[in-house]
Amino acid sequence: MVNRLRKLSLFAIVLSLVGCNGRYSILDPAGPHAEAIMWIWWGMFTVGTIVLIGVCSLWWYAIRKSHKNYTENESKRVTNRLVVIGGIGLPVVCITALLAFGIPAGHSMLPWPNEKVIIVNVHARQWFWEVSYPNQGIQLTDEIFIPAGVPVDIHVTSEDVIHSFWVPRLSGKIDAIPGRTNILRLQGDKPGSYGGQCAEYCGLAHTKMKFEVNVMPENEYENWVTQHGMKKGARE
Amino acid sequence: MKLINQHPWQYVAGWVIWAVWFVIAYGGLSVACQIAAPDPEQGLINWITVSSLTLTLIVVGYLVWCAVKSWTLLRVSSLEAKFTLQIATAVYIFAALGTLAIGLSLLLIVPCI
Amino acid sequence: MNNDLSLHAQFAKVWDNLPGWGQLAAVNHTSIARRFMLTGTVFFTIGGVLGMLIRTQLALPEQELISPDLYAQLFTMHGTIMMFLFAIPILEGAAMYLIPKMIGTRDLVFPRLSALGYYCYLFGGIIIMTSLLLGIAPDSGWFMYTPLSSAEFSSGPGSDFWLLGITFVEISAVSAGVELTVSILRTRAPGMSLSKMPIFCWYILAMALMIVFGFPPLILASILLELERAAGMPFFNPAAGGDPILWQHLFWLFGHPEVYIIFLPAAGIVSTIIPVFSGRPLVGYRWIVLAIITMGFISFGLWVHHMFTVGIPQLAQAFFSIASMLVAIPTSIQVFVWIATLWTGRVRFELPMLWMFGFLFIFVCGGLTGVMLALVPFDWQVHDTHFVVAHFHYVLIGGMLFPLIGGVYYWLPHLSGRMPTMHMGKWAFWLIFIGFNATFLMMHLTGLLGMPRRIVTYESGLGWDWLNMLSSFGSFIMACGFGMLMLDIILHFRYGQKAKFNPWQADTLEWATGTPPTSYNFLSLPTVNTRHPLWEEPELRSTISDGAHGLRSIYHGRRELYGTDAVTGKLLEVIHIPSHSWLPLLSALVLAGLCISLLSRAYEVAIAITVIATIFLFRWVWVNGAHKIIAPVTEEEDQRGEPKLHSRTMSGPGVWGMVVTLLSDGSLYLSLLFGWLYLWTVAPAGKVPDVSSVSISMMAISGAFLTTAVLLYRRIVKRLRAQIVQNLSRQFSLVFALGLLHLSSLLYLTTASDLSFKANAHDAALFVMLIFQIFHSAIATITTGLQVLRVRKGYISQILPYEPAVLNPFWLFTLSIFWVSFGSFLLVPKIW
Repeated sequence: MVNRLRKLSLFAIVLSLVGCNGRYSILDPAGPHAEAIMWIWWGMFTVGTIVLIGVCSLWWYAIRKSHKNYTENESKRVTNRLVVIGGIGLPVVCITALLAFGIPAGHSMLPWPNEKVIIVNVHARQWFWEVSYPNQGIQLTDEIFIPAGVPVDIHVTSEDVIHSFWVPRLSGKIDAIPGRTNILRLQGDKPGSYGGQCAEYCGLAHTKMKFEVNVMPENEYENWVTQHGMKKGARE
Repeated sequence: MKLINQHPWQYVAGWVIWAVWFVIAYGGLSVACQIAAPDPEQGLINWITVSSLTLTLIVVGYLVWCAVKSWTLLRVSSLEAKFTLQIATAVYIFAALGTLAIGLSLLLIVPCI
Repeated sequence: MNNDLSLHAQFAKVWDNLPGWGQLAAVNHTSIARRFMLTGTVFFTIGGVLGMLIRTQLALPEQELISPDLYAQLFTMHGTIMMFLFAIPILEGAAMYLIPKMIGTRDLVFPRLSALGYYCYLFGGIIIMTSLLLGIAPDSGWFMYTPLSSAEFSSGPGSDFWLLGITFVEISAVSAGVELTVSILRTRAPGMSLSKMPIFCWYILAMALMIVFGFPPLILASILLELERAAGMPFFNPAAGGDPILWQHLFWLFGHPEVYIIFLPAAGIVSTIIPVFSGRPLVGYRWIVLAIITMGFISFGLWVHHMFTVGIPQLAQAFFSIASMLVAIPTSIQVFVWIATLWTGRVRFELPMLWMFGFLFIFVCGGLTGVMLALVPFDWQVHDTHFVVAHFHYVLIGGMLFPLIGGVYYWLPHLSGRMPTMHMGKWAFWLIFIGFNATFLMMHLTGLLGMPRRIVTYESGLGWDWLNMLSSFGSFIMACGFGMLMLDIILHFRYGQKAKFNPWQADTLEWATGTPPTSYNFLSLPTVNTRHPLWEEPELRSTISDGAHGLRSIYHGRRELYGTDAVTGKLLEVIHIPSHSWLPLLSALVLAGLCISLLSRAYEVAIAITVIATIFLFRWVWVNGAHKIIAPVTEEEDQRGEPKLHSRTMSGPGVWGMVVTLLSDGSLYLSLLFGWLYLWTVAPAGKVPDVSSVSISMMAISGAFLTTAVLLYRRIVKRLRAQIVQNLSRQFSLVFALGLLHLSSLLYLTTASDLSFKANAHDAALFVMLIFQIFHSAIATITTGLQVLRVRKGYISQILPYEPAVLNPFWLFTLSIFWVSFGSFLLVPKIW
């Protein structure tokens, strides 16, 4: 674990040097889902770069190499070898590897039944986000507070057009669609404030439809809930 | 008329079967999840997965059988028919593998979540 | 020699376009295709300028050069123009130009349809562009997601311009799809079996069939959305039982195949050029055919990968995820076949090859990011970010534009008779290549840093500043490159060196037409027994224009082609095609009028125009077959040693055209059926539809009339096939009467039903189904009525059995959809 952390922090330094951090950066994760996706990306990037360079070099070599006369049978053999190894083998191997990592990663991000989970309703409208905590009776606009290290289910709905709820440093996005309720499992590990934005074009102020997710240590979150939940209760 | 022959239909037959399977599998899955979604905690053994998997295996088996038939016919055919049958055999094989590859996800992912 | 010259002159007299304004009545494929390509280039330039405006606005953070409203119009129109008004039409144009020449024939098989397609494209494009000039262009993104594009959230006419204009343009695409399919299947040179066809034709055949099946879902979706906007039918409104996701399904059901519709012809260009410059035949011809077929099918099973974030269950997403990755296999098979061809050949590095290399690098890169995007969790992160923008520009510019430009340079000598040169061409290439990568390579990172699509500006300090600056800078370099490219091509028309015969030493027949080509392509039509006619029979160069091959008589004044067997290429009949005609232009003008009247919501005018359009279209149908300006029966036609004219047989191109059109129509119907079932079962507000307002017994009676009519019609056709023609006119009259009974009962039950199609999406879908049925029944009935007249006129008889054979599949189709609708729209919900 310590080893892993050290590796991660080293990696974070390298990333900030090449400019991969930022308020909305996918490459600077702060939660388990975003982190899994980041690792998948770097893996795909490495393999992809090797394949691209390999294929282009092979093409270049095929053009530049000194010519030789091939008989009908020889050229058939060259073709079949290239097509079977490169045309079929290469993608099959890559796809298998990709799915071997990708399917479990995707699986772990689903909103599995879980008793610990906190439910937050997010109702999108042109052009802001109404946030409510059904069990705690809290209402907010454009900001969400969640405890660190605890899974949160965001129930996303829409009032008018299609929007998309996205906190890049924590997890992938999910659309807010009129007539439907979509659930996104979110988890933040490091306390801090993370930017969220609407990712689906939703009209003129789409650009400005932003929000904030504040991840706080669990005890601070409990305090926050008692404070704000109380206020709500008092009003009723 | 034999099921596998030199008709140009054979160029696409394999993929047409795949397409029908794909529509049934995807459409059936969507509808089944609306009507009687199994509990995700039940895991991979539930009525949707088992029936989809059975369908997939039947389709794969049938496509492989077509490929074998087409291959046998290929070896006794004239030059012009050979072209059709070579493509047809390969299309059956590819369609079988395509069905299998997509169908395998049934073994990995719990439906309806 | 003198005699030959006069033969050429006689051919020119029959085949050339009318001079002056008469050019507008041209139907010749070379002329129409050139117009397609030229118009496409104009739209490309406009779309490019819009792209530059977008890049200018994004160059610096917090810029306010362009208002959010205009910006929305810009990105919507940029996508719309590039996809619908540039990519598809220009490739269709290229295909229409090349296909007849490659398969050794003189024209496409439905020339008036080519012209109609062109005018629909032109007028549709102009209508859409007008909206941009007026500042009321569509502004909900090129995929027009509802409810943003619906009447409530886009109350202006922008969405209507998109829906009506694009549908209009799609008529053009589908008609080209039908025409190319039938031409490739039925008019190849005698002896050219499917396995001897130039590989380009396989690609175009696949593209054409994909258009035929792939476009109707969007046409239907556009019709439904326009009905929702104009008539309040709530197909996509969840409050009334609709679902906005239905639009996304229908749109991407078209949208994903479309990407391959664009890629396939471009890959066909690559597969044509590489063997020529490798000086050897394409190795692995069968691998390529396999890859084309595989791609054609799998590409219809990917559409949900555009919808991974709408909340579809993970398993269903996995189906599409894996299918999307599988499509990499046929793609890489092609790449490695090209490598193998280069490997075993002796490569000449001319200008087109430079573009091929650019294509390879960019396209492989785009393909790889495509596989990444197919992975569901990764897509959840980068969907709708600039990563996706970078990806699809790599795929589309790399996979379509680079091969296309390579192809343009390759076929330039054919168009102009002059050779391109390396000087300026090389510069243009490097500017575009470097500019392109500067614009889009680092844009992947912009997306990974979280910049979403379609935002009008961004704040500083997010790490996006320098990346956007770089992209904008790169786009200006690319624009300079395109400027230089166009200049190079224009200058070459004036200063290029005269091209020799077959300047690249190609193997395919189009180089035997003369450069630039004559209006009739080939004076005599050769028999082809090889995939590489110009390599293996170099004497074709002279024998074709000496008139040493088939179909060289012209004294009759008909434009004629050979009709051959779809598989073996065996000679079957002589196809006579119409010469220049004003009907396409007039019909397209009337349709444009219809489009404009619908846009301005002048529905009375629209009805009047529809009547005029109907008259034009039936006039078109009338001037056919043995009509005196087409191919009246003459004494000479049986005595010249050629096969029969097609209108004297029962299997001519019209039958094929009808069947292929019905495939497209069937795809439209299936989309409607899908919509109905979807709204019933999967939509969140779905429930078993209440269909009690439509009288089932009345429907059954109407169906009984229809069934009897079709059975009788089939009997007529069967008897005609056996040359029995007694009481022909009376029998047609009987079918006509039965058709009228069927139609009037259908009309009665539709008006008598109290469908609340404004309050309920199911009722609206049911209503559309009834209208769809009425439309088909009416056409079948009226055309049968015309057949009664045509029998009396002598256009249908023992020696002219053609037209009933053409109409027969239409009746069958009408019957099939009737009973399928009866079952699935009325019976099943009732029993449920």
